[in-house]
Amino acid sequence: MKPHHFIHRLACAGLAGCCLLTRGIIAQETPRELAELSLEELMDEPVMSVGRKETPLIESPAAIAVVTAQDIQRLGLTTLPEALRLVPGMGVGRIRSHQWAVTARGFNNQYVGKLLVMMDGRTLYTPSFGGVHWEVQDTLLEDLDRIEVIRGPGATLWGANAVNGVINATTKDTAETQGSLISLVAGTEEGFGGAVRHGGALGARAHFRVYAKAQDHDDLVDADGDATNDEWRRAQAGFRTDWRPDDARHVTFQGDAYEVRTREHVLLPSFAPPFAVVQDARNKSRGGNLLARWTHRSSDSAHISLQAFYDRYRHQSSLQAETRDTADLDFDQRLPLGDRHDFVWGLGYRYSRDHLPSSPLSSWAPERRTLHLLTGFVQDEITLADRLRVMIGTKLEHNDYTGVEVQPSIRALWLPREGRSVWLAVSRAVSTPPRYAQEAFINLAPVPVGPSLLAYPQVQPNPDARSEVLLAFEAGFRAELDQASVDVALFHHEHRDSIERLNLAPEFRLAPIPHVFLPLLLLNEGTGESSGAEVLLRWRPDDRWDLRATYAYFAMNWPADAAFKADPRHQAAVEARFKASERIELLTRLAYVGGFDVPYGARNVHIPQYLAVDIGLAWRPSEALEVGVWGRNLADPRHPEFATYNTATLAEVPRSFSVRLLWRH
Amino acid sequence: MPRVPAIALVVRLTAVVLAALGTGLPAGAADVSKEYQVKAAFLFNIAKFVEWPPERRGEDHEPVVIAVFRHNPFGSELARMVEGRQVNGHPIAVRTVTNEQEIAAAHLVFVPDGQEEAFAGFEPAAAKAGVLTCGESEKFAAVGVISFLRQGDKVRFVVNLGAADRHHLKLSAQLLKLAQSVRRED
Repeated sequence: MKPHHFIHRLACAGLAGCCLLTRGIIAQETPRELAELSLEELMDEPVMSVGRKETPLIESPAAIAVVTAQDIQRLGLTTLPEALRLVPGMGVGRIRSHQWAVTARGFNNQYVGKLLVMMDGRTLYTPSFGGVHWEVQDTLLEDLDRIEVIRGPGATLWGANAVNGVINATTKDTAETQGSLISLVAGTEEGFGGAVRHGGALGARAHFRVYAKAQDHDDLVDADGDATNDEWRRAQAGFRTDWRPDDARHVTFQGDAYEVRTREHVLLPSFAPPFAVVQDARNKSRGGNLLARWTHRSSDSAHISLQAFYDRYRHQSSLQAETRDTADLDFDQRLPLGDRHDFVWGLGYRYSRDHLPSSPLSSWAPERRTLHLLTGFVQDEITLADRLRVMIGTKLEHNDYTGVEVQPSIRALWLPREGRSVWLAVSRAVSTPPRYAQEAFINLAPVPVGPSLLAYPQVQPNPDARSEVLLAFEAGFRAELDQASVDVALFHHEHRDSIERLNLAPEFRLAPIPHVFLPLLLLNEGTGESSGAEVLLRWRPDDRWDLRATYAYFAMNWPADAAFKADPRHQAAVEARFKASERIELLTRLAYVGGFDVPYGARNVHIPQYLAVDIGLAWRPSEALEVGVWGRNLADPRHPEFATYNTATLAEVPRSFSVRLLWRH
Repeated sequence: MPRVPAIALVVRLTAVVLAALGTGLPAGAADVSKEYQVKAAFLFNIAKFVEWPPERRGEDHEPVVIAVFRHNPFGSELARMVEGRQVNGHPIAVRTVTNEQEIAAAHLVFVPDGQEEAFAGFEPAAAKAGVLTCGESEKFAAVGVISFLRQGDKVRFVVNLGAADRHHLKLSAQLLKLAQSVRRED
């Protein structure tokens, strides 16, 4: 990946890459590992020439991890959130077949609002509820280059809502995806799916690709193994072109269009018996995006780039419809100042217009809203000594809800010797309130308060809701040896002004039936701390074995019993890949997730600890054909992973099997 | 909820970090630039897709000789990379070559940028001996069998089939498919 892409991807998404990622990250393979790559993989391998400012992972002063396209392929994954499970410390819980709660460093829920997710520089954050509609975020995974994940507010310098982390998925340059590809998937959970892609050249200096894909996903199951009626299917098509009129300039133009149909059983409050009804909702999401990016790299360490994108999302449902149009413009420049300073700055503007009609679940005031976001950032990376660097920067932004937000950070990197690094960071980050916090009434399922009396809780909007503030202290250590590597990150986060739900005085109401009305208010009253550690070990004793182990610890110290403590204290995984021959590769992954409580309906439900065991086999009968077979969640017949307040039935993830044929020419 | 043992955790892990820093394990990263590391990996990989003339195919224990002409931009990286590995059942030997005899004894000769003219005099001998020649410049692409060319931040390669014929080499279809361009005639 080219560093300038990354920079302005970040900048564009309102993230404005303050420190590390302005340089782009490259996964550092050792020479021995390079020899194990295939010709195709070598052609994808970025090379770092002298003076080129791509940063090897080991020189990144943040908790960064990279999920490669190969990792996703080897595990036979078909959705982006499932791929994020491979990152140590990520919390990924499937709520319904098509819904996930994804976080890094705690506070997990469906609307976590503290994670900034991007694909090819386009932000996937939804201002209405502060989360990501994971079911509509897709691309041809075979053409995905990598997913870079920054845990913690290493991301904060790139803008609001990047408090817990930044996820940036990037697709390959079209020069690397020439030729045709056909992929067919069949599985007990995946159902049927297929994808086609064709890449070609447009003259000597331009390349293109077009793709189309469709995928079914079956229901999850309840505790008895019966379907929870949350099956879904999606279809998507897209294109990308890359044009390099000369060595300095690079123009990218790309776009996607999709339709996703989902089904879900949702618990709705009702004033008629049985007072909480389960609605079988059918939803349809349609959308698309177009993105253009121009980069001029005048030297290895100086560039200017400009990016614009438009994104449309239209969700039709009997529950909560939503239409959103987003237009975004970003500029950034990088220039070295003298020998010791590497300076980056940028500006961005985002326009977001939505329509949220009132529904049985929520009512919005106003229903139509246009939001403007202005951002700017500056960063200087100073080389203090040969092996010591400091990065100072800040992000400034203005949003319509909380006005000006300042998010500075300072990071230091020390390279005590070749293949070792130690980093420290202090950052301030904010997550701005999502639109619902200031402008929506949300109806929760009724709870009995007496023999024949029900209480109807309703979340009230708070026009004074402010941003949640995080002060983060981080430290990390990396070592890269010939056959092994170690990556340790530690953090201590101090949270202030966190939004909590407070019960206001209940009111007795007679209409439409006698009931207790229970207003809840979102207030910036939470104060607390969280701490943890994330460890990744990798060992490649010889050409055939690739062994990885990860462990993550997370603990929260919160005075009040906050509803958002839905995070396991311990998570661990062990993965072994074994190349039996040039044609056969075996993979086993064991992942342990500790137990935790999560809000479910009007109460909490305990998600017990679970062990997920995945086994896969990839076989290449010829150069063009690859066959993969996987068994997933083999350790138990089914287990729950997460829940949300309106879940009618706690969905459990069943044991599943899948097979895939991949043909390239 | 118990208080987070943040301080204790930090102290403990700092100790682990410092202990790891102090250990005298060999450094993994190399001094050679990533570009040459990738090119070295290419040389090793490409050798798997080449069929040498029958007289050059030795017994299983005889090594496939990957050679670098005169100036070696790989340092010791190439040798380290291929150590213990095999190409189609043969072990690999890495050498630096300077004269006709040494070149004719190699299976693959890498001609670094700037050495093309110096190598030109040995080209007929290399062709006669069925040596796979690899270079890294547009200039070399006209005479050599394979040339690496930088494209953006990636390394690509072009193939000269006329040269492959003259050198009595058969290149696999997969190699040709991955080539950025295939030159049919000299």
